[in-house]
Amino acid sequence: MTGASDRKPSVTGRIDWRFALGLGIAVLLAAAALLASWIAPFDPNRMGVGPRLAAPGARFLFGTDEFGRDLFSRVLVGARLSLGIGVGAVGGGLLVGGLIGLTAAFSGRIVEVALLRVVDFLYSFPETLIALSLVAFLGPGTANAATAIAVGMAPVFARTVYGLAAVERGKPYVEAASLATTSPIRLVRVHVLPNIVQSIAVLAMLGVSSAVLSAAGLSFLGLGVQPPASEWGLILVSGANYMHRAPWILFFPGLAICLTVLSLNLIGDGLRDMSDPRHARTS
Amino acid sequence: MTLGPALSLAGLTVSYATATGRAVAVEGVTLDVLRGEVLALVGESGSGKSTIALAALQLLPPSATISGRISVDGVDTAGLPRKALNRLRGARIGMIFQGSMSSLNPVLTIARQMTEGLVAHRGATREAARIKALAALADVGIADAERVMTQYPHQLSGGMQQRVMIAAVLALEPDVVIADEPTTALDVAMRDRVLDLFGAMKQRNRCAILLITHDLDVVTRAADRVAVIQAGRIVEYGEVRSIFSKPRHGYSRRLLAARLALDTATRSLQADPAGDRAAQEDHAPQLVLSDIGRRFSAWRRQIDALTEISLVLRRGETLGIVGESGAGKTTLARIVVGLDCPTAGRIFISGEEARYRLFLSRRRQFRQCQMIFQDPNSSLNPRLTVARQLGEPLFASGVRDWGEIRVRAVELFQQVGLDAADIDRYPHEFSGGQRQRIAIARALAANPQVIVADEPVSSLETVIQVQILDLLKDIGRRSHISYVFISHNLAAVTRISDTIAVMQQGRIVELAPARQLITHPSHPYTRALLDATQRRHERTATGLVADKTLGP
Amino acid sequence: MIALIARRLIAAFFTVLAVLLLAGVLVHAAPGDPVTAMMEHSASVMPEAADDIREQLGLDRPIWQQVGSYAVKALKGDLGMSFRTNEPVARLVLERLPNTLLLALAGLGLAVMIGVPVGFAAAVNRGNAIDTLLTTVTVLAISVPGFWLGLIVMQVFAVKLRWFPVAGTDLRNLALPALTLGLAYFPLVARMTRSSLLDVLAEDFVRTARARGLSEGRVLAVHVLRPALVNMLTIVGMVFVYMMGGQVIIENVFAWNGLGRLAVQAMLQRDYPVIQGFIVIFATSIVVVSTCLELIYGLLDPRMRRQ
Repeated sequence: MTGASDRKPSVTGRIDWRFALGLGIAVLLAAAALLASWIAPFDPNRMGVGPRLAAPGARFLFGTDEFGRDLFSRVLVGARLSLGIGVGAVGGGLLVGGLIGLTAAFSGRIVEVALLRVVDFLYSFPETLIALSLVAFLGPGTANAATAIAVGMAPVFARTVYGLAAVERGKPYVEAASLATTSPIRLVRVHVLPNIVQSIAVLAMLGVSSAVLSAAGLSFLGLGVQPPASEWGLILVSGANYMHRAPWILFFPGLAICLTVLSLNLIGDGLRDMSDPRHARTS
Repeated sequence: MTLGPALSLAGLTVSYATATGRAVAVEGVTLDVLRGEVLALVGESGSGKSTIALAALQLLPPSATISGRISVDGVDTAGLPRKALNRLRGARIGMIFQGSMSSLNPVLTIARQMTEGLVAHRGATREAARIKALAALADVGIADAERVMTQYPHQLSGGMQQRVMIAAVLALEPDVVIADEPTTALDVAMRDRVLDLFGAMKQRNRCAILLITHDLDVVTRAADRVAVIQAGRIVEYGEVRSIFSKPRHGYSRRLLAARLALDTATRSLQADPAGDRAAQEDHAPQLVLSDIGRRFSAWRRQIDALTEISLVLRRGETLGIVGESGAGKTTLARIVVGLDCPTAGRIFISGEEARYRLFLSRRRQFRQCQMIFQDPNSSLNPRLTVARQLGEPLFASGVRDWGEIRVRAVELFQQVGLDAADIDRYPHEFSGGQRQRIAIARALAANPQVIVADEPVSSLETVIQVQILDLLKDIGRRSHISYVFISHNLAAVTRISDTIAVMQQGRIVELAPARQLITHPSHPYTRALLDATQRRHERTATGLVADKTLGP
Repeated sequence: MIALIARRLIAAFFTVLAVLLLAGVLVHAAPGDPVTAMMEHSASVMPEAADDIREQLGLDRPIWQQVGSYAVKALKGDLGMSFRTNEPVARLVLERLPNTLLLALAGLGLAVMIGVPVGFAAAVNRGNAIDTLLTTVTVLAISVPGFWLGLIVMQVFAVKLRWFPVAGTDLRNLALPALTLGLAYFPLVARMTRSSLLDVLAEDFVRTARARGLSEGRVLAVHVLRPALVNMLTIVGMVFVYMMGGQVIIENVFAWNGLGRLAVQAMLQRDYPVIQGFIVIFATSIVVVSTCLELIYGLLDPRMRRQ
């Protein structure tokens, strides 16, 4: 069809509503996370600022926990922890995984096959298992958890980036560029990366949402962030313990996780559908 | 026939909603296909031919907006309920799709796919349908029909898949057949057989056939009437002979004339054996291939794509390589520029032996050989400006000052006939012919000694083809760059080559100066190629008796 | 054909071997010394005896030797002894393996039973209200943390409604954790099913079938379903792997006595041999199931079958 192939292959004109919604929520959450120290009405770790297990009210928006700590402040500060771990883990995982993927795609056959074997081996196991295995031996803690999650996600990143790069490498314009380039690194940087950043961005968004979930899970089990920090998963431990007496402790942190993950998923999905009309849901 | 047209389109307009507004695929198309005739629909790719075909069967995606009337035997198909439409499809109108590999279901046997239509429409028993299917397969020249029936599509070659598609449609004996490029994957003999089959259906069954093609040969051989389509509009519509002898619209005139221009080059060389090209000065060879071989091994089979290829290319010389698809031309091209590694033989560039390294370590040597790819749409990076894409090879060739790089890029841009103001645009903002010019500029930017052009004009409109060929010739003359010009089109090759190598199945069967090859071919394969070109030329020429530029 | 099966089996074996080696190596990433960890658990280990024990356990040998001997012993069935209880790890782990597999099967079954129809309905109704509704539900469901969902399910069904017991490991207790897993993973199944079906629907051969005049029902049943089914296997395989990851947490939420519960307890108590055993057996089960699915897939897809 004349005209179709002449459009610049990038973001199509209309902004996907999911992307907009997700972005909106995410921005709010990010703001909350960044400004937490200033907005929080109480010191999140301070015990006894209110009665124990108080229901949500005017003073304590989300109620209090079993130590009399303000839940709202804890959840707010928890945003910083959760998002921090999420972004950190993805950053690390993407860096390592992405480099492995690119190296595999643009090095010789031997290196490629060797790296892929390793990546595929790890890829055949759930990320959670890899993360757990690492944390099991490294010991619980925030940094260890973040590292473990990063290592767990690295194979996915490696494999996806490899796939994207391998597709690019077969394209005539990359071959043409390889005929007159000074180094493989330059070839990748100038010619390949611009064509795959969008897909990587989608991957990263979805990765952060997955990392936040993993971090919460690990903390809930006691293997991640340690008390008295206010990571959402950790608060949910109290939530579980006091399920019938103070259901708000279970409710609010969980809701926070849901919102965060939802917004990131929306952004990721929206980005993907905007740049690849084939997968768009409505015409 | 006193009945009206079997298929009739009146004022058909199809448009799609895109992010940047409405895109019109076809506009105001009016044509009729009568019973017992073949109407050819001719146009370049992207002109809307396939859209018309799909519209006729109401197979366009829901995002398409259709207006105008589509009628089969007088009945408007737009208003038909689903059931009636399904009764129409397959049984009354059959469609042969382009791209047979993807049009066959990979998880069903051929037998299943061939008989289901018969069972659904004609109420035939499984056994009766099977017999009909076998007969249809035999009609399209498939010898081992019984065995093919039990196979799956991926087990058949491209040509066989296409024939199976055709057989499946014709077995239902529809009143109207729409064939979208039905002969592209077939060799000449098979193509003629299929076209004969259409002829038989036309006469025996009084079928109405809409034959969509971009190949004028097919039109002259098989069609009664022709409609020429350009950018979604019909520009020419009438009897084949009269259209081809007196094309009225500028576009069809250019289409026919351009084809002729290529053929004329061949004829002029034949007609004028004394005409000499400037004698080759004795320069040191730019490129030497010594006994190059390339073997591919997959599972337990081995394919020798190239065997014992030896060539010498001198400075300023243009070597043309011609052969059918599958002869190994592209493999050879890739080896010369270093994108592929030979399994035998050696290659010398400017006197030094060039060694092959891993994918990305482009030795200084191979940079001297640059390449122009076949498809200008995919050989330019969609996300970089043209300026950047010209700048990178300049950077690689040693220029480090970006100011100077820019100046040189603009020079190159203008050298290939483009407007300097456009240099900061993106590839998608240019037309196909312009993109190929950019590709040429990019190849030049690396300051090469040899440029390998792999089918550089095959995907372009015939009119543009001539322009690009002349541009290449011009650049070659001025800069003394050597060319390796590859094409399956002998006429295009003869237009610009000094020496021609003819390849068949991975070997060079003849290598001679262009003039000599055309006038006194020694190898039978070369003779066959020349004959085919000659015959094609004559067929087109019968309509242009009055045109005096043809010569004797 | 036989070659295909043999190749897969050999690949699976090497994967398991790699897991063994990895489990053997990882333990050395732990800070401190296994013996120190042991001493935390058992008052009966005297500090003076520490060196003897080290020698006994072979901790003075080079790492690669330790890893190698761990792997060899594991292949023979010896996974070491728990630091905490001094029972053979192999027995502890294999006792709980059936529980984990049972839960996984139940959860997977539920996820598929809910997810496939949802995905199918969404694909077939692409673009209209039903599709939008279903996909919205799916996106929301994917964002819910599995363990939170488990807690809520527990609160609603066990505590408030008292339909099911809260925790434990009988068949009656299977319902809630399986339900949680099913609800947590059906969106993934739905998404992948929808995507796969849309891909098949967009294929040229579906267009050919329509052009042949076959009814839409027939087109779906014959031309779309077959290729889609083959893809379903891949989807089930992938979801299974993901779900095994999530199962570890769910087992802990519901006190389901499977590998996951054992593992977390061991991790909190630094019972390294048990952790190693968990990794080995858990990973091996995944490899076994994945390989079986791959083999079935190879048998189903005619393109894979070689003459």
